[in-house]
Amino acid sequence: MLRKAGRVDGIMLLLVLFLTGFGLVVLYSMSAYNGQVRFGDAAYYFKKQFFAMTLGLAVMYGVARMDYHMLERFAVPAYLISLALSGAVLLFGDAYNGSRRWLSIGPLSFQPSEYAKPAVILLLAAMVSRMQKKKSMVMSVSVFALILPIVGLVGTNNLSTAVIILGIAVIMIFISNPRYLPFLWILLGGGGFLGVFLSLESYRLERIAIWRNPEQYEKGYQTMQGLYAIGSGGVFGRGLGNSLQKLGFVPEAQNDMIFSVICEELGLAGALLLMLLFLLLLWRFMVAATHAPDLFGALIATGIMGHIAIQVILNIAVVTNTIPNTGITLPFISYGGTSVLFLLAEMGLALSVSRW
Amino acid sequence: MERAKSFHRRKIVLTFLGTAGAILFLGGRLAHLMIADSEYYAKLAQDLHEREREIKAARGRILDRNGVVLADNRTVCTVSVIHSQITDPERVIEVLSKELEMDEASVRKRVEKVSSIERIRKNVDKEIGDKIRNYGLAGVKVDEDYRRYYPYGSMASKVLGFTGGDNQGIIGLEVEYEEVLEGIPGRILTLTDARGVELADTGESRLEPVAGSDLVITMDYNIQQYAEQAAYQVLEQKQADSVSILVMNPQNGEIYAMTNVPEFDLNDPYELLPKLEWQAGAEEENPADAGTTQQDALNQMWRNGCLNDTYEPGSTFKIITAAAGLDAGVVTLQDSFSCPGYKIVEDRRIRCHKTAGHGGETFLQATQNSCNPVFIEVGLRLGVDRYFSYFEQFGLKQKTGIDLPGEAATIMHKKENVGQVELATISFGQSFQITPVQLATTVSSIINGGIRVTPHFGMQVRERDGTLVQVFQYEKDNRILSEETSATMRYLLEQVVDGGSGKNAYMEGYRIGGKTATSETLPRSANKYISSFIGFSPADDPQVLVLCVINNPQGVYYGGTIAAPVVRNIFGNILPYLGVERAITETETEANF
Repeated sequence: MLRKAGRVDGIMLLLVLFLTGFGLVVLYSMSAYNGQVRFGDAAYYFKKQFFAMTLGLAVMYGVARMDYHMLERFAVPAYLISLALSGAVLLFGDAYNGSRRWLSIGPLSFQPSEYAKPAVILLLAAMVSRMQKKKSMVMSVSVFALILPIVGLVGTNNLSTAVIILGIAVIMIFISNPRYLPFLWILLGGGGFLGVFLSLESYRLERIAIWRNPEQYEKGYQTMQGLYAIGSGGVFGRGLGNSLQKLGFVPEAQNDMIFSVICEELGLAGALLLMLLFLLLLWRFMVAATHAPDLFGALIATGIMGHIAIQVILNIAVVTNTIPNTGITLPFISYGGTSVLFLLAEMGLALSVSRW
Repeated sequence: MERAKSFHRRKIVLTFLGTAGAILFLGGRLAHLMIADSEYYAKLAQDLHEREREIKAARGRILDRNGVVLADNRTVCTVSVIHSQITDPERVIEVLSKELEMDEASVRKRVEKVSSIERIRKNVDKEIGDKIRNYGLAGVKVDEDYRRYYPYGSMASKVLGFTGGDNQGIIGLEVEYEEVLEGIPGRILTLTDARGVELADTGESRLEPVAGSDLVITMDYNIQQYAEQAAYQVLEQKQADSVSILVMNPQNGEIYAMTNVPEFDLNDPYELLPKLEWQAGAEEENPADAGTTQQDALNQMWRNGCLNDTYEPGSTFKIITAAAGLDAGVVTLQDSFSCPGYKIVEDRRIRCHKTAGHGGETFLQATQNSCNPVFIEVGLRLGVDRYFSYFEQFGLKQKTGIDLPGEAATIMHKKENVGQVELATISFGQSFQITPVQLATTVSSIINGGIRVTPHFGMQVRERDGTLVQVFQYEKDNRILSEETSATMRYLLEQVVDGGSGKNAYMEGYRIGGKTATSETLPRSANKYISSFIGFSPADDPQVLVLCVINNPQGVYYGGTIAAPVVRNIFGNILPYLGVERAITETETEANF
């Protein structure tokens, strides 16, 4: 070891704890109506989220205290488990809202795609640092090939998460490779592929049309309701708990569209503050990554930064109708037990990296 | 373990900057949406959340000239259920079907229907509504509402009119004065969730309704009652189809009473009246148009014969011919005529009602006798041009402008088609049609000193507490006849009652003027008659004018015999009531000696 383990990054820890607490409060406000209407319990979603967060914080504490180098050994097995789970969900998963994404073990349900994200981060960090001696392009291509199976498995029923995983991988490989130009080609090529991909199926084109003119399509309902919520917020919002749009107008206000209701209740000021918090957190990841004692740690921190950045950016872009609608949750805030659990585990990892 | 190289750090920072840029861009986009577009989206959202409920305004009352309430409001209840709030559906069904006297199945259907609010019954009496409310059942809502109520049932039904389910006037004064009576409905704005359920704690903005104003009309409750009694009496006696009576003030056009019996029940206006017993089976209805009959029959029942229908006025119209002739100077009261029982006009031989002829007579006597040949002669002396110009001058071509809907227009020959024969028939009131109210108004104007009046009911608008808001003004300086001719006409018509065909309207102690009429309806072959009498009193200074029109009387049908006594009877009741002094007439003075 090059250095002795130091203290965790206090700012990062503070930000994580604040976002977690804030997320819980906001989630209660957003989900109370839906919980009351569907389950006769305003705190229904809150309780489940609270349970997951408590568990997540414990996991985070444990992971943060660990020496992250230990995890290097488990990178490949963890990835193999995620492949197995993602395969299993296709066969035995529970469908909810038409998508097979959950594995049930007794009363607990589990979303393997959420687990896949940290698994991929760990795998890539481990593989890249192991293959440093190889030629950079060979290394990049072979590492990329490694994660294609999980992208394929997750992508069959959860395209959004697959895109996130792919995005994390591209960012991590980008950082591990000294060259710039090939990534520009990848970016352009990816854009071209996306264009062809979208125009192949008419329902995907329809999504674009809805994006351009959400008011004219029935399927633009969700987008419009989100925009109504954002627009009604004004500068300071209606006040916490006072949203009207969450009362069944914005479908599933506690999920993907939660940011629009935050805008309605807390206004532009609250929304920008939340974005600033995310930005600060990303900054702390960057600091942890650049100060990491080794490439493995730097890549882990970068992967986590990429993960949070992609989800925050895509989620807000969808809600503001900047890009076509796709289901991506807002980290720490949106409802989802598995998501919050592994998110906090990732935070533990980042905190652990920050100690060195 | 491998150390991170500097290009790694550079790229990490670059990635961070890239994401930071994206987040800043989204922040800007958000600011645009929430500041620049805020109003637009907030408005759309507002429309989505708000539900507007109307609070009915209490409709203004209709009062007679002395403040008797003729049309009022009664509180009724609407009973509804809110599905999501019902806790004990069986009990709700049981109570509602019992109290509302509805069968259980239909109540059950509505209670069990999944809807935000379901109306069980409208127009429930307030007592029953209160009783249901006192059960305190969860999910049962009792809303209070106003319903029009007419304390005197069928009295003046065709004049007052009634309102529909939305409290809007349908016929009569209720329509004509809708703006005065309706008031301004209030509004309750509430916020609802996506299911349409009102939110309890968001506060509601409430705009209070403004009650409609009271309408004071010229009708006098007592006179209206007398008139209706008299009309029903003669309807029965003469087994007529209908009887119209109009009582008005000839000086200013105020209508004291207007009735067309049979009247219908204003509190149940869609219930057809039973057929008059003497008519039962007389007219077989055509079963082919049974579908339209119901509405047609209702419309027929609601018609105000005094102004919605026209008729041939017959001899009462000789008043107009006499006034025109006297005014133009083509005849004087002393001019002598000879009646052989007919008059030949061009190739026609027009008979007098007295086929033997009246022999030699002055114009005064001819009026007393209602002698057709004399009036034909006067008409011919005037000529078509002058007759038509008087017809127009007296206001007979226009509608009277009465403040009731649906006034029928005069049906008159085109001037260019009128030859001597037509002019002859017009002179004694045949071959054209006017409304009873037109006749009464024109005669009023001829005897009141020569000023055309506007017949009307609307007098004042008052607030509920009696504060005067508006006094209706009517035109009163439209001279149609000279004072002198008007005075001559009063004298002439008093003579008709004193010793002529109108003697059955004579009443000791009162000076009464008038004219009888008996006209045969079209087609003449049906042998149906309209008997009428128009009278006024006191003859020297007319305060009240009464027109009685009897449609299709059985047996004796002479206006002088059957209509004149009706008018005398009404005068006997209302003249003392109106405070008209008994005049000491010459005959009486003589009798005292």
